[in-house]
Amino acid sequence: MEEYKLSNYTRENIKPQNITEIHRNLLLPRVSVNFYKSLSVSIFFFGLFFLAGCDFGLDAPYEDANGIYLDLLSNTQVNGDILLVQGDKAYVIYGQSITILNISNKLNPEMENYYPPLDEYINNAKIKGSYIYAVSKSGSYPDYKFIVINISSSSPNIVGELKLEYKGKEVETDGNYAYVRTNNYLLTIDISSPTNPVLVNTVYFSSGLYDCIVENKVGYLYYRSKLTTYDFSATTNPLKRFEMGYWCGHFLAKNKEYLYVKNKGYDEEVSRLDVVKIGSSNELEFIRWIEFPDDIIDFDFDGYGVASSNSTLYLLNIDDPSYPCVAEKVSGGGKSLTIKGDYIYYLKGSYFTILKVQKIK
Amino acid sequence: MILFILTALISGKVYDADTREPLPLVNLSVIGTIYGCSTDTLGEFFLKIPEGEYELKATYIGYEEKLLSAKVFPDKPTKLTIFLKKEAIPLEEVKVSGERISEPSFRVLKADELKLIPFAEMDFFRTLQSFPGVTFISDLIGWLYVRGGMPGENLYLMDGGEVLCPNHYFGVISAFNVDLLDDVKFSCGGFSSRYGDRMSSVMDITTRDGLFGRGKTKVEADLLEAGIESEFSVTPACSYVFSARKNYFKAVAPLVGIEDGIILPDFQNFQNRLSFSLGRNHKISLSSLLVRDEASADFIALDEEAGMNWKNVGNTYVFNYCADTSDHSMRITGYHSYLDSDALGGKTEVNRIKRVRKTGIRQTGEIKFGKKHRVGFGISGSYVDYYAENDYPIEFIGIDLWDQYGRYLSLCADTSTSQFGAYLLTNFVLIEKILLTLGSRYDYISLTQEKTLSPRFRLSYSWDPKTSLFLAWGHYYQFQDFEFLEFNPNLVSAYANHYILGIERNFGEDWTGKLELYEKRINNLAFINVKNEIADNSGYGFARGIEMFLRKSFTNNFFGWISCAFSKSRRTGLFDDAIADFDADQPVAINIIAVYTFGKDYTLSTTYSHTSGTPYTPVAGYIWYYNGWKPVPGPRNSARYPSYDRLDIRFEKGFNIFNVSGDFYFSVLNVFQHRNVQVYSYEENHRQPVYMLPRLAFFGIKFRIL
Repeated sequence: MEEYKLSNYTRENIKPQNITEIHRNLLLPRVSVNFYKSLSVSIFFFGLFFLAGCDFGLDAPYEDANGIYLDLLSNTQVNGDILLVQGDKAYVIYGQSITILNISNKLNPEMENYYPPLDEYINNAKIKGSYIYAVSKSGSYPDYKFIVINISSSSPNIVGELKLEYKGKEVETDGNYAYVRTNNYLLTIDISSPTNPVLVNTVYFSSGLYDCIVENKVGYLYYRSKLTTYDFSATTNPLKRFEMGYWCGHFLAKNKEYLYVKNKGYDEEVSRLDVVKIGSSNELEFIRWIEFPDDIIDFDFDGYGVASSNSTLYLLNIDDPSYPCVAEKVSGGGKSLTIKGDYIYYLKGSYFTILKVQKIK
Repeated sequence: MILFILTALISGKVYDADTREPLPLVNLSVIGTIYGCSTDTLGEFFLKIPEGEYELKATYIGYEEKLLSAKVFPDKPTKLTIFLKKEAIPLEEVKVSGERISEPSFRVLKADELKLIPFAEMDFFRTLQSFPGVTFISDLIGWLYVRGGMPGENLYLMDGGEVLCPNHYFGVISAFNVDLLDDVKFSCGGFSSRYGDRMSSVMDITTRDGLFGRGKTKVEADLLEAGIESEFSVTPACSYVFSARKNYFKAVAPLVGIEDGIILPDFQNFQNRLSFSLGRNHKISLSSLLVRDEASADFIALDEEAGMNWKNVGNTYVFNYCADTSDHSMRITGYHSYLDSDALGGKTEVNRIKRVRKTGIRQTGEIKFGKKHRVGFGISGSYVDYYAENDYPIEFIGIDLWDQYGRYLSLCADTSTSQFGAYLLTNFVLIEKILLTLGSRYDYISLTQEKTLSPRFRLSYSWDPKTSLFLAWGHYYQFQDFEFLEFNPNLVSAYANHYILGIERNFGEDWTGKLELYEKRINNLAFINVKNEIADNSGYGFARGIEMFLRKSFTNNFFGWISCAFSKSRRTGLFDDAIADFDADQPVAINIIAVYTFGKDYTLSTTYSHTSGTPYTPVAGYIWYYNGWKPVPGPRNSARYPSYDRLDIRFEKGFNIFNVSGDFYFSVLNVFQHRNVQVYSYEENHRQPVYMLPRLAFFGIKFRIL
């Protein structure tokens, strides 16, 4: 049984509240739990002491602060660098191989298939429908490619490829197009015929392109000291819609009308998640940042947010998407984070892990 | 010689002739002498008087006067049993109040009822919390939230003068002594144009005159507080009554081992009334309520010295002149009320200072035109001097943690203003069985030069002698808090529209039932945008519900009521322009109060409350801040505490031993030990409920020294 102390009611752990809550929770109850105890004692002694089943919350149970916690569903041994999840399938890519897991039973994912080593070493990939779109390299002298892997057949194989002049670092898909980010270029590839991907446009970024997201023909691009939006409606002639000065960003994620940017600050000593609001005309407005105690290496958003450092995985409450905050944290971070509704998938070491977000009603 | 003469004794008891109930506070005077006394709460009296034959007069408001003869012998006490009959004339007709147009929407608690209600004697505001339409956020706080209104939207009047400080400790305990009250009228809404500058409710408290004759003195003391009440005639036409209470918990606490880490409350209050009767129809009275409380503590928090100091001084002085004749009445009220309130928090860094001075004069009157038409009118003027400092760390308000660190929002004001108001009210029989009350008031505030007009009406239809239907509508303005005007001097008054439809029926002589549907729409509430520190009138809200009230008058040894309310209230916040559940929204509220007297001076009473839990702002999560996790509020008032249940029982037995009367009582609070959550205390990623009152059982003895 933990005894109440007035130190429990100090600025350091007080809950921010509205003004009435301040009256109620701060001015009166918090600073005055003992006052109420006194008051009750006063009532108690109004007459002569007789009997009291006193219970001033001394044995009040500890509860989860916000009713949100994470349940570990499963840890499946599989090596991987890239994780793709679609429906009841998880695709774990490890260099030149792909492992398919059936995750319909999330408590016990089963290995369904294992693709033999491909010729290509996959750097990054996205899944869409029956295809995985990936950027890869092959050969002793790197041979950079954009490849399309058909995963619908019983013997999945590369059905289309496009040679690239530069090393592809990331793939995005939107409609009939894939967008490949390299160090300085954003390539637009027509994938309406997966077996015959065609490069349709190239945009050059002299100062380096760090990350990009394309959604509904609108691109959100971060390159050195600039955060921009591009209109990709005209495929061969994308138009810059908005540009804002932006420093120290690393990578992006998008959720509804907000962009989230990993930022380490000038001195690289902080780990921030910046929140940027996307306006109706794709203009961008910086809203705030929130900090983490350790370096965030990946994040993803879908209903909740999930962010990970090397040692901790953070579940983010984004009920107010302009103000993400840590709803729960568990030790043991991971990479290639993917959140689909209440389920979180990630890779850590030689394990594929599934967590579930639980909410106490 | 004198001592020898005074050894003769007349004692006895006074009863209601119809109900055979003992009557407290009956005035007994010995005609042709200076001797007199009054009955105690058990209806008993004791009068020491020289030997001889006398004529006694027993008078009691609302009862016929009774004369009787008594012969007193020095060696043997004379015992009398007196029965008084109720007067045919309604009580209001014989009172010199200066106000007679009835307020049908008021619920009235008479003094004798208040004394019977368990725990009302300690704090009758809590009793009002059991009325339908009144909600609360904690059983430790006596604030009244009326039909979706904030406590600051209630008007508190004592004998017509505005009371700025009706509570101790900002609302924990009511400062009024119910022994000195004549009645408490309370309206949840739809009140007449007589009352202005409040848009939620009116509590109109009338204090009582002191007893004529020799009067009496009552002293009460227990381990923590002591009180004295005394009343007597100053002259045959002038009576005086006062009460004073003070606690000495500070002195007692160390004796019972409570020393460290406790905030020691210290309060005192003084209430009095001096009244002069200027003939049958005229009266002057002076009443006052003086409230003082203080609490301070020094303690160690997180290895740092911290402190907390609260201080509250609120005094109200009211002068009244009342004239009441058969066809007109008038009342002139002058008052001065002030409040000095400091809450200086050490570690919490919340500092609140408030200094308010309000001086006003109000004249109300009524003229009666025949039996079917009355006109009420009145004017009022007041001057308010206002100073406030409220510094809230922005992070506490939870507006924007990211970019507001270290910033304080200062709700400050240093201003003064004059207020002027006038009302006209007419009450007439429109057609047979239909009574129409029409009224309007005009208010002007010099600070903002704002003029408001508030029309109100009420239509009553007498379905049958026992049943009436009523419909009421009213427009109610309330000037903005002066602090808000600092953010925008062009803020206009907030206003509410009340819509009420109801039915009232008497079931027999003792039972009254009332069913009301209401809707209250609130507009022009202040909203302060913390980012740019600009206020506007964009706030709004509503409250709607259905209320049932079944009340049993105090007859056949039984008294009480059941109230049941289903309601919904939502409002925008002062710093949040999104509408959310109101702080004290309780969709379901059921309250029962029952008092049963039996045998010889036994009273068994109980109160029961079941309400929905009130909303609170949950913690959405945490952010990392200065090497620690700091909570982030979720949507305002988007979660609810568990439902509230509490059953209290009180048993009381009156006694009289050796001319010392008193009461023995035994009480159990929260009989079922229901864990009603007051608030959650948050620590990293965890919370712990802090409960309201646990089960408490105690007994005590109160003595009255006559």
